[in-house]
Parts: sequence; structure tokens; C-alpha cells
Amino acid sequence: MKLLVVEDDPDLRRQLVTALGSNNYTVEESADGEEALYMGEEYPYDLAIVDLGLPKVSGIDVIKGWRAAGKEFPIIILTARGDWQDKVEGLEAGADDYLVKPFHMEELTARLNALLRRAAGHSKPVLEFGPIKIDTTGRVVYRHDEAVKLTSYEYRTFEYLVLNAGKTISKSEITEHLYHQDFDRDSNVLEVFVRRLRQKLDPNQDLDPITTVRGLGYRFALSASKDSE
Amino acid sequence: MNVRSPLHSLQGRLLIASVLILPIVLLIAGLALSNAYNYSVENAVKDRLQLQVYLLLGAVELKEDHIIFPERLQEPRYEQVNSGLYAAIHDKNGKLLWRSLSSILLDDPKLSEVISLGGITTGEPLFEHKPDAGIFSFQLRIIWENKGEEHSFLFTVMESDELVTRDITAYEQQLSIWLGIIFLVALLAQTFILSWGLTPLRRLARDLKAIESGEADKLGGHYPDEVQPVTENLNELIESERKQRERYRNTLGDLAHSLKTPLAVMRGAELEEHELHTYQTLVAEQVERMDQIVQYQLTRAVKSHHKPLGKSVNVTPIINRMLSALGKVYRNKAVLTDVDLADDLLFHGDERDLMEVLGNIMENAFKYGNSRVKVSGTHINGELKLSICDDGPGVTPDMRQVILQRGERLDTSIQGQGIGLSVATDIISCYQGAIEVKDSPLDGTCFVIRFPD
Repeated sequence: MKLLVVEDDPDLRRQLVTALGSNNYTVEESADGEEALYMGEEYPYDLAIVDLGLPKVSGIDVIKGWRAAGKEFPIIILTARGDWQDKVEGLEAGADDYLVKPFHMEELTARLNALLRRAAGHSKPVLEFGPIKIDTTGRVVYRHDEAVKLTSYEYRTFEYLVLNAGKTISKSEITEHLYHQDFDRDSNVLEVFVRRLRQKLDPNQDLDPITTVRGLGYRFALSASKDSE
Repeated sequence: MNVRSPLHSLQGRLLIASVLILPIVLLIAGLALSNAYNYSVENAVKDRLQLQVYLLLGAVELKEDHIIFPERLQEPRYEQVNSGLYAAIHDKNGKLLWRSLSSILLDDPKLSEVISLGGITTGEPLFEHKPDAGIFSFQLRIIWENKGEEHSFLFTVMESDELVTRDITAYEQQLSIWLGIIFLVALLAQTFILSWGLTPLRRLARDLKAIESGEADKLGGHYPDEVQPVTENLNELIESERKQRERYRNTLGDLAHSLKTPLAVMRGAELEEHELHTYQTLVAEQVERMDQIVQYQLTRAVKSHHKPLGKSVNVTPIINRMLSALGKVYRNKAVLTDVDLADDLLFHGDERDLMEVLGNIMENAFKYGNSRVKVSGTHINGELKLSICDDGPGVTPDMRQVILQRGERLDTSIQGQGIGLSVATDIISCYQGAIEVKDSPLDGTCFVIRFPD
């Protein structure tokens, strides 16, 4: 999942980028509204965190600009004043949730997880697909209730496929959403991740959770257990 | 020096308007008076000349086909050369039959130019002023019957206009002088009236200056009825500004004071032997405490604290905005909202204050309610009554007072307790309103807020 953090205070921005990065998110950052507006319109983000008090272009205008350009990724606003007028204006401009500064990083990750799941059409934090269970809050994958050891990039790849379950996702889309812009797109790293994921999640080769759609990409093929929707 | 245009002063504007308009009015009045005078003078001349014609008619006799004059005419000026009064009689062919002795030095061409021989209908007198010739003329054509024969004669009496013109010129000079005097007196009077009438405004400016420089703290004394409401409103504004300043000062004092406790705790902890984990917990607790203090004091300082003059806010759109915003944030809970608002609900106060109260209470309903929130509003007995109910776990009776307690003792309050409700309670009490917690018809909590009009 690729996130955009728009915050003008360098210390808070650094903390956000570090904390979210260590939570297995790919994070890109911007310090002013003008640049943020451009980045949000040009690159495929899965979620944006926007401070309302930005230099050049205000946070509200950035959000309005993105929504006017047809961008639908979820947005969390950060507000320092915390009065309801600010919150309501932000939500009316197109944001989906708000946090008042100072906030706990745990609260931010919980909120953004909820928004990402909601965007993918799931309301509960733990998604079950037969024997395979994925806890999007703890960022752990279980197989027959046993935690599967995944590297950060393996988890990201798997989560992206699961949140887009049933859809065929092209390799380029996965790389765009999981890696920074300077990632070498020609490398076969993705194939390596998918092969390892298959080995770890389906050692007996009786489940086939990730199917390869020739020439198009990959698809997470298991269907969700009923109570996980 | 910065020279200000006279248009920036009321007095300047009114004086400029007078200086422009008064001459036009006086000019029109002067023209009217002068015309009326001319008319009456000419009428008098006409009457006089007509009389002269009738006198002539009475004096002459017709014998056979010619007329006979007496030795002496009654009017001596006819006998005196260039006396200014002239007379002539012509027959129907325009042949001069008689002219008065007074006219013998008048040029003949001039006389014939003046006298219109043709175009005069019998019995209809013609009165004319010929300024070029300097003459008034009165002419009458008559027909006399003598032994069955008709004889037509044209009687002409002329008078020099010299006297009349001099008279009129003198009149016009007098008129101009008097109108000029009226203009000056009117301007002076207006300047005086304006200066007298605007004195209260100048006094107001002086008094405001005194307040600005700190010599006075309100507008004192009596002002005229038209200005009094302004000064009363200004006094109210100054008073509310002063209170606001005081509140900022108190808030800053409170803020500094209450922040020092958690700071002291952290400074003390620096010197103690702590494990990293307990130190982190301590810092986190104190940061939380400081955050609540800052938030509470900021909200308290910013909110308006007084009823804005005559301003009122429509409640329904604000509730709808809050509901749609909260519905977005709590989308996962799929809260069912039930809104029952009377028409034209008005809140007499600041929109921001109302949003703060509603936001804090409605968010609690969304947060603690299971799946339903009901917002209702009515206006009864001169107060706005809003109730926000949820179907959550409810609040026990002994906790009801506690959660509404105003935040004065916030720096010692329980950890983790939000400040939203105390901010709401605080704002409501500023409007002399009331808030209470009741049992909800939905089996949860109901917050009932009342604002007097």
C-alpha cells in the first residue's frame, strides 16, 4: 500500500514517514500543498494523510483539488486547532476521517487500516479466506491459525492482492502501489515474491491462493469466509 | 503633510453641495424675479401709451376727409422736441397726416422703420418694444364714418425706452447684490448649523481617541438620540473587547500555571532512576495531560463568550452538516439517524459555538451508540431545546453530573477523559443555557440542551 504524507513540520513528517514505513507501508512525502496537489494527481496512492495548515495551498484546497480531479483514495486530515468547524469543513471537502494533533501513532495506523479495508469493501480488521486468515491491524497472515513468517515486502504484496481479491492485478500496478517511484520496474523481484508467497502459504500445493493470469498479472483467487465480510 | 480631500468630511461634502446648488437656485430665482419685473414695467408702459392714443383720439376732429388738431394738445410733451413721447397719424395708404412737434428731430427712416404700417387689423391695438430703436410703440387703426364714407387712420404713440431700461438695469443690479448677500448668509448659516449639528460626532471621535490612548475606558456623557444607540453599541463592544482581553490574559495565566505541574513531574523524573519503559509511560501520561489542558484552554479562549448583536444561525443546516460529516467518519458502524426538527429553528449566537457544542455531543452519540442516533429540536417557551439520544450503554445516574462538570479542575482530572463535554458545558453556560443527561427512549443516553432566546 502506498501512502502520501503531506505535512509541513519536518519533525512530525519524519516521524510519520518512519512509523508508517516500519508498519510495512510504502510512504512518500510532501511538505507543501502545491507539490502535494501535483503528486496526488499524478501517482496512484492508496491513502493520503493531509495536514490542514499547509504553506502555499491549504490542506482543504488540496483535498478539493484531488476530488475534483476524480481521485478517490481515502484521506485522513490532521488538524491542530481541533474545532468542529475545521473538522466539518475538511470532511465536506472530501476527507474521510480526521485526527487532532497530538495523536498516538497507533490511533493513526488503526484509522488508516480501517479506511484501507473500507476502500477494499471489508469492514472487519481480520479477513478470512478458508484456512488463510489475514489480520490487517497486526499485519500478520495465518495459515490454519498458525502465523506465517513473511518479509515486509511479501506481506505488502500479499495484502494488496487480498484487498483486491478477485481482480486481476497487473505487475506494474503492484509495483506502483508497493514501491517507491525509483524502483527498478524491469526486475523480476515480484515473481520471486509471488513464488515465495506460494511456497509459504500453500506448501502442499492444494490451495492455489495466487493464480497467474498469463500476460495480465496475478489474482488472489480464494473467496472470503462469510463472517469475514 | 497628508492633505485630506474635503470629500472625506460630512461638513465638507454638505458645503460643497451647497456651493454648487445654491447659485443655481439663486440664479433661477433671480431670472424669475427679473422677468416678472420686466413684464409688469412693460405692462405699465402699454397702459400709458394706450391712454395716450385714446387722448389723441379724443382730441382730433374729422372734417371732410382730413383731420383737424386743436391748437394745443393736453400733453405738453408732444410740443417739446425730443421729449421722449411722440405721436403720428397715417392714412390708409401710409401717408403721414400728422406728427407731433416732439418727433420732428427723429429721423424719418427711423420713424418709418419703427412704425408698422401694414399688418395692423382695425380695432386691434399693437404694442411693441423695439430695443434697437430704443422705443416702445402702441398703434391702433380706426375707421371713421363721415357722411356715408369710411376713412381709415393709423394712430401711433411711441415712447423712448431709455427711462424704463435704466429702471430695469437698476433693479437688476439691486437684485444681484441682494441675491449675492443671500448666498453668503445662507452659506455662513449652513456652516454654522453643520458645525453645531455635527459637534456630537466630533465629540464622539475625541472620546474614542481618549479611549484609544487609554485616558478613558468608555464613552461617557449624553449624546443626541440619533447617536446614542451607536455609542451604546460601541460601549458594549469596548466592554466585550475588554473582557475578551482579560479572558485571554487569564487563559494564558491558567495555561502557564497548569502546564507547569506536568512539566515539573517530567523534570523531576529526569533525576529519578527510571527504567526506559516507565519513563516512556510517564512522559506519555504527562504529554496527554498537557494536550488536554492546551485544547481546553484554547477552546475556552477562542469561543465568542457573548451574544453577537442580533445575529442568529439556522440550526437545521448545521445539524445536517454535522450528521453527514459524522456519518462519514463512523461509516463502518452504519449508524441509523433519525432527525426530528421543527421548522425555522434559530440559535441566537455564534455559529462556531453551536458547532462546537453539537460536534462534541453528537460525536459521543455516534461513538457510544450501538446503531441509532436521534436528534430532535423544538422551540418552546422562549427557548431552543435540542436533544441528542443514542442507544449505547448509557450513563449511570451518579456519573451524569461528573461527566458534565466544567473543566476548571482539568489539570487534576482523570486520565483519558475527553474534554469535549466540559467544553460544550462551558459554552452552553456562557449563553445562560442548560445541559442535562437523561435516559434515552432508545435505551441509551440523551443529552438535552436548552438555549434561552
